[in-house]
Amino acid sequence: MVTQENNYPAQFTILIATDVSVDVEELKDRLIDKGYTIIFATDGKTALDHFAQFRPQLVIISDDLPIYDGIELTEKIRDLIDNQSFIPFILLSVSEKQFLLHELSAYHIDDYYYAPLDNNKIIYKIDTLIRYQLQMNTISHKYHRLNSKYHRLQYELDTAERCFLKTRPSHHIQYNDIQYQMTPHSLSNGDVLFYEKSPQGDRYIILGDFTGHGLSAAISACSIKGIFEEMVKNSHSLEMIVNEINDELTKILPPELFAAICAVKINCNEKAAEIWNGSLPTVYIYNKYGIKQTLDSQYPPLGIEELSDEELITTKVPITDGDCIMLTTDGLIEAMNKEREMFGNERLLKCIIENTETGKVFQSVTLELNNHLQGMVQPDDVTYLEINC
Amino acid sequence: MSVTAILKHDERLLVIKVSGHFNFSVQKDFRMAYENIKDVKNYQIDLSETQHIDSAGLGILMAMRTSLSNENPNIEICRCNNDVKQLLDIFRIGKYFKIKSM
Repeated sequence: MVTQENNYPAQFTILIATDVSVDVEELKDRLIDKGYTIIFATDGKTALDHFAQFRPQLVIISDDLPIYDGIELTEKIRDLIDNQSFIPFILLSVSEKQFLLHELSAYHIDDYYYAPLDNNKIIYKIDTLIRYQLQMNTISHKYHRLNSKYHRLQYELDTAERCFLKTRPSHHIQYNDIQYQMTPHSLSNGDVLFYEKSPQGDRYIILGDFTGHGLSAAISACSIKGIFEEMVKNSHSLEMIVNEINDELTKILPPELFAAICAVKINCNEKAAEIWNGSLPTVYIYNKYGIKQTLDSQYPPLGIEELSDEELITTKVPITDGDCIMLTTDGLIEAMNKEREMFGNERLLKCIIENTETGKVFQSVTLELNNHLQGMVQPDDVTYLEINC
Repeated sequence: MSVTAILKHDERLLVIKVSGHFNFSVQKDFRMAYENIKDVKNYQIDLSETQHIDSAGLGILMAMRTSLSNENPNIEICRCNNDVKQLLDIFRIGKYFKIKSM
């Protein structure tokens, strides 16, 4: 028989509380030989005090203890233990007594034995219970560490989210020339929208979609919003703004993170719009007579490397009153319903074509999207906006 | 979702194949496939079994390019399906990698 196979640390303590009716002398000796520390009591009161003082890892109790009997003692000890720790209980009794199994189970008694004791069996069981306990303690320890890390991380994310949301146009401000829909309060994928008017009255809009974790969007969005506002205030060209934002993002973002961005400037005097589409879905320009023009992504996303002069050329589109421009992020195109069917370019195009005449394109996209999704929550931000020129 | 890599010594070529969805979930495996592998000049990213790639997947490719930039490697993306090709085009990935349809 292998006796010293389990080399438990010396602090592994077992409380044995029995009266004279059950002979535990041999069991005690063998457990001590195996390296366990044994504390012993012959009545319920002393056993409870010992438990409180020594905090043993396992408890063996006989049923007919003076002062508190086995079940009473179990109850009182259980009151001292928080319900997340696993302290195994073994109940001993004379053979005439028949335990009611449902009662044992209700008191979380892990096993029971009748005198005369089969010590081999009991020791085997103790070793097993203690092995389980060690495993559970490890798991519980890891769970607590993970949980505290999770809460820390959640707090950091919430902080980032609060900073990030400040970069978005305030929901309280109503713009009469743009309508937009963004996933509210979400750091899922970090869509950003900036809108400013220059002192001359030119309007600048930037819609961006950051890759990767929303945290990077939060960091970047705060710094590029400042650049954007400052440059619009000084009436810089759209090319210069895009270039400056690219330089900033290239500087701060690691190689795997970048931002698909579409920048639009509506010139109030020239009656023209300038558009720079770097990796966002197709931009649509339409009026009540139908679609005037579309503009696919022409350029790489921002934040990778310096842009060449050719990559900074904007597309100029003549604008008349009543013209609208629609920008979207890929979250709209890829918005998936329960059947894993995407919203798709075709559906968007259909919404535009069928509603230009009534001027209700934006409303129809919202309606169609809601019909498509039926409340399905999306993993990516879903953003679309319509600029009324 | 899985990443497999085959090293062809005589051609100094490493072929990395991504099956299923090329997204954040393959980030670690993909990086391990090319990191610390010596004497490779040519890299082939085989997307024949890639159903879908998202922007995080593109980020993984960009990180590879930056990480290997000192060795001036020849990186080629090949055998991608139409959906994948469309995203590579929208993001102008051809600027940074050779893209072959075969």
